[in-house]
Amino acid sequence: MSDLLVVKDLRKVYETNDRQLELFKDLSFTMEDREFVSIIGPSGCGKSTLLRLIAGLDKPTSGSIVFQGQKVINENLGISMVFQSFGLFPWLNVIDNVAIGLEAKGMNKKDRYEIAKKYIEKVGLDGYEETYPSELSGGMKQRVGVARALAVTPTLLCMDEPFSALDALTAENLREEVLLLWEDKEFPPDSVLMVTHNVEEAVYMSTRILVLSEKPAKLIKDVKISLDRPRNKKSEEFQEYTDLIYSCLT
Amino acid sequence: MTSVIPKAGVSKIIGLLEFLHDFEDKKDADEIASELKLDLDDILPVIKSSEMLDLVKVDDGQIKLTDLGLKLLKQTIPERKEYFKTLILSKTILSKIIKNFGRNTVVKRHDFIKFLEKEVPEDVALHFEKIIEWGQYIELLKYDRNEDEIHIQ
Amino acid sequence: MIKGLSLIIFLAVLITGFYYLDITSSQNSSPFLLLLLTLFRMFFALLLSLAFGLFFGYLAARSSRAERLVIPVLDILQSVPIVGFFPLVFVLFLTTFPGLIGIELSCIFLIFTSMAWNLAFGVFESWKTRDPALDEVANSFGLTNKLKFLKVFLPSVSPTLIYNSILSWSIAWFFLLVSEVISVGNSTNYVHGVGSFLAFSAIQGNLPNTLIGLGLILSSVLFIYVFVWKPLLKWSKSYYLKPEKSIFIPRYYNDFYEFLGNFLSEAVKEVFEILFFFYDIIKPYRKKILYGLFYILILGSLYFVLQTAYYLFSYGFDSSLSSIPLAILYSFLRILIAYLLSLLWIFPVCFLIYKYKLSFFDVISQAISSLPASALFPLIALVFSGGILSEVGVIIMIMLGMMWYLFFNVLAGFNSIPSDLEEASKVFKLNSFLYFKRVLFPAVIPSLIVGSITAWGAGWNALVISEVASFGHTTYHQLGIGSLLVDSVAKGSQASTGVIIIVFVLVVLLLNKVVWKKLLSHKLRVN
Repeated sequence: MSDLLVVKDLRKVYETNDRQLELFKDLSFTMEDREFVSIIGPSGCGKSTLLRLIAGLDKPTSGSIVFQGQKVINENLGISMVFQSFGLFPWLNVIDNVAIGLEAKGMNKKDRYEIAKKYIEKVGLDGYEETYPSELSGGMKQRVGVARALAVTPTLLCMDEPFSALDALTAENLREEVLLLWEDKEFPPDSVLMVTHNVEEAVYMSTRILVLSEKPAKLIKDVKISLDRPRNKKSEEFQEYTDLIYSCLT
Repeated sequence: MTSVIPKAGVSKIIGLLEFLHDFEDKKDADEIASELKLDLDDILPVIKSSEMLDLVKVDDGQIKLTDLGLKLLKQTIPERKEYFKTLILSKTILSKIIKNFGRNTVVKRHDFIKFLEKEVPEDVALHFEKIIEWGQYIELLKYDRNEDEIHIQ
Repeated sequence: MIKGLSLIIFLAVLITGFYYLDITSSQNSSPFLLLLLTLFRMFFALLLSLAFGLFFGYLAARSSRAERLVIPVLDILQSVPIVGFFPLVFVLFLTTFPGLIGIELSCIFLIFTSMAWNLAFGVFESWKTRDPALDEVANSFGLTNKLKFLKVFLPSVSPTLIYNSILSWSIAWFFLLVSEVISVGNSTNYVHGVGSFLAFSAIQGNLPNTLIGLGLILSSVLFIYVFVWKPLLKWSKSYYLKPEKSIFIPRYYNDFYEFLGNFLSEAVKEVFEILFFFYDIIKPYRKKILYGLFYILILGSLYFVLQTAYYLFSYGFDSSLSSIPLAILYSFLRILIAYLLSLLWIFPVCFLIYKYKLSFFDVISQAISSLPASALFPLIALVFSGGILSEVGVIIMIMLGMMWYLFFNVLAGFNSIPSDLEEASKVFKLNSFLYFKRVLFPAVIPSLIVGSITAWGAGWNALVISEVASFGHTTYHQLGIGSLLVDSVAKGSQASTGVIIIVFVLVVLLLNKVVWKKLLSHKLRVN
């Protein structure tokens, strides 16, 4: 299996007002096909920035990011993203939001609506095509965000703390649904890269967890989670993993 | 028990079911609240709603997942929606609404509210809101705010 | 492309129709026709202002270098009283283009100067304070610049464009009499419209005509409010708030406007696509053209300033210049009195509206405030004439121009008092004095300051058309910076005009910076 994503010696420095903030230095890891990788670390360690570098939304100070054998320069169209604050365009209804990525690719209205409808159904929002974001609850908004990210059939789905703006119960629900979507072999995504600050969430969902330190962030630990699905949060093995991660972080 | 309409939404209900499933399908209400760091005010409507739809059973403060609830968890997302359609139609006021107004019709909000006032003990406005929300989810109702009408499909 | 092209064709037809009507009209034409001409003119000026606002607002918001240049310049331009643009207009249009075209262009440009600045500021502020996540979303899906403009930028500034268009439109009405009659030096140029009709009726002392003109203006304001602004406002808020049912609005009204709204937004987008097509052609030369335009602007303003300086040194100072300090003092005092008098009635009225929840007052005041007070100025001149009465007349005029800005801001301030503060004062049994001191005033002060900034700006502008006003044989002429400006423009003395404008702008900007901005930052910090 060839490497999906290779990050090598990544360094990111922020220049503000004559202060230099080094977020990370010499960060390297690889990701393979069909993995569900979580990046976890203390707040401010730069994990969101790391995600944006991988998605091509920002440029590293030095180092390289290679996705499917090609260097990442600008926004990479094999990668799409789900945002913490949902990021829906308030003046577009659900179907126009979901179809925006396809519209950017130049697809005509009929085709992109067809594809959008398919993904709207997949996340359980059929009937809401003409609804506007202001009329949706948080959970529904994020479902739209997910449908939108999947409609462009990405090879890698990046998620930036996707459930942290939701209440505890809705987050439980959405985690499950994202896993269902990932496990469905007929639909994207095949691989997922998620940033989170919730250790339990990371252990519950991922095949692998990358633990980052405080800035300048280093990769402290690369943990492979070998628990069978569906995972039981109360089982001993689960607790062992969460304990391990917590001890790395403290 | 007068089951009018669940006050909590789909996401929270399924979230509760998922959560219970982690604990061998049963847990005390106050423990649920403290584990999830939620107020009793936040968790009680969800429990009541799940009970109304026969997805959990409340026994002396202990909340237990029913077989139906367990089954629901094992469905795919579109399949869950179908289950909810049946549950909402059979266990809530929505069936009475269809019986009273019929299908494929348009009802003025004024008349709709009048009907609710007969059926519902109090807080008609809140009930109306929840009925519209659930109605839209199961693709039965659509509320046209401009014309103040409800379309029953 | 059909919708876009049909919109362009429609505008072309409108322009030709307007031109035809214009040439065939005279001051004796039906006042209704004159009203139509004025409305056309304002509409074209609004289109120009929208384009200006979009362009410069976007530019300033996107590049900090542009921001540092554009915003201060806009600030200065905003403070220049409309009469101050007369000489510029004279040079640019009247002497360059022959006959009707020159005058029309001048008039439209003057209306433009009362509409454009707040649109640009609105776009700038709105775009700067947008949700940054949306940029990331757009980039992550690889949206082209064109798509970002059409799908992200335009929709997100539409609410501010609509809100500021309404504001610009009413400001334009306020200065209409001055825009349609341009007296520079020995030449008086005018266009046919309801503004000049009203101005001439006032000069002739023709009361019936004056009232007709007033009536036409008022009814057109109301008509446009009901059939244009209200539906636009409703549409602009529809994405952000859950829509509410408005009572008494018939179905066909909603359906028609929904259709029209959709058609227009599609058409506008298509027009922009056509523009983008041409823009792509000139793209390689884009930077050069932009810098070129910019340098022309800088050179033009420098030329104007230098010319003024040259005249100053070659012809010396006009005698009127010596009265500038006194004139400023008088004008300042007038505005101050008008300001204090306004507060005197506004505070109690707003408090009563707030305390007793008299919401119908809200609607009434919205209706009254949208009527252009300046249309009443000739009548006020007629009534309050002679000696001290003329002063009173001027102060009344200034009040009419400023007080609504204060009123609505103070009312908003009252409405923003959190209800728990109210309850707390009841629980702790605060007596009236303490209540006013500790609860009411602190809550209202920030809004009061914001309102005062805009009110004083409007006050300075109102000065210029109120210190000289006439009806028939009754003219009054009070010494003030406004009348000084009007006089020097009428005399055609370039140098004096330039100096007065510069002094005027400096005073306004200085007051802004020294008094208002300091107060605002202090209050914001305290809160």
